[in-house]
Amino acid sequence: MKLVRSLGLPLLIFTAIVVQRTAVGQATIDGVHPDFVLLMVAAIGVTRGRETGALTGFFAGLVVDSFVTTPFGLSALVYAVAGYLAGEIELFSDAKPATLRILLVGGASLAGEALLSVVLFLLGLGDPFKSRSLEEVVVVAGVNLVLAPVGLVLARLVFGPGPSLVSERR
Amino acid sequence: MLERPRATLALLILIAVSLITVSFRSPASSRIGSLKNLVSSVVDPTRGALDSLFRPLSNAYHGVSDYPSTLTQLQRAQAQIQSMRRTVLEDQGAIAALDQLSRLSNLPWAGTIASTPAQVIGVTPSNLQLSFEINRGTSSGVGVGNPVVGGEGLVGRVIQVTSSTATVLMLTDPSSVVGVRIAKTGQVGALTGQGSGLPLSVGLVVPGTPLKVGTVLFTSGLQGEIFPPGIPAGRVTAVSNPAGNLQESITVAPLCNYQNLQFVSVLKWLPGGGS
Repeated sequence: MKLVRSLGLPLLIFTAIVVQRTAVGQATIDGVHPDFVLLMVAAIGVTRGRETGALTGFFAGLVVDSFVTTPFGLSALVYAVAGYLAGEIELFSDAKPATLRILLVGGASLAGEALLSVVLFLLGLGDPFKSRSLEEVVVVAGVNLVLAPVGLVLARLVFGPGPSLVSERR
Repeated sequence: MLERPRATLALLILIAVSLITVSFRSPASSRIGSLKNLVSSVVDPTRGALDSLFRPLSNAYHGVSDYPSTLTQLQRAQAQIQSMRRTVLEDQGAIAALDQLSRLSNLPWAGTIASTPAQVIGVTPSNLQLSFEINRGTSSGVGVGNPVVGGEGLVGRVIQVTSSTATVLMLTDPSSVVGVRIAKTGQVGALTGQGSGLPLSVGLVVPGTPLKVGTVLFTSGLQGEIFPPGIPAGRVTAVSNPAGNLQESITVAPLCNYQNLQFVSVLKWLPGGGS
């Protein structure tokens, strides 16, 4: 069981990356692709806290960067920050309602996508005022908000009920 | 001192920014390239398997979400197909017209007879007379009785003329009679129209005259004839010698196709040999 738990996180991220690269990830909403990897990173951040969220996001981002021609490390940076932000839930009180968790997944996704636009702009690879950045941010965050319960359930399946976020606060 | 999660994040950001910097400055870095290849080689085989698993879901989603745009695309594609078909038909029409014009530019059997090219502007809307109209009239030197030819041969003769148009009687009209000669034997006959959709017939040919199906008959040009000699007038399609008949039964098809006739040439030749 411990082995399954330890393999669970990479397996979950690996699955999210593969799904992102299948026909499901190629589906679009108004021309914008959903981001399942960001969803899972945010869900893991919410479930396990800032540090796990950031580390998961970083390594998942490195894998994602392997499939795109944007500078290597860009997705790693964005996902790490998104995972960390999602893990900010640990700063809230001990009572963490499901609505808050779902909203945090959506909020972290929104922040991640917005950060991506900003970094691309800083690197001279995109102009958020000319491109469809706002649309991308809204769609990705919206989809992740809707799918947040699924992501959270999957994260819980992998990590189980504990250890709780309190342990990570130490 | 930063708490651990923040320190971790700061470290990760530092590494990520370093990677971005390296990657941005040397996009073709071999180490990054080999790392990318390694990841692709691990992920892509799995992707193939999962892709087939998720394909029905994706198709279902596309079926619902893309229906309006697919419908629009379908309508656009249908419009394009219709437009292309129209273009093809127009091209075919243009090719046919060009073919007719090029044939008209070279009429060896017309000899030195002057001619005027003309465009067919319509079939005479009457059941009483098989004729068509052309866009040349007296102002172009066209006169009543002028023979009208196509690229293949005789088409008819002008029976009515205005300053800018002329009416041409088709060979198939029952009132049309053309004197023809069988080249091999020199035998002459009268090529007569029998009506719309019916073949022409040749009368006055002595029974037993050797004639093969496919033989082309030419205008005879006998004295007083209404057509100059040597113009192909029709192709024999059937020959028979019914017992007791005083003349051979010969069926002939016109050489031109009146259905798609677009251009003709009016020979400035008048019955009796004048021009």
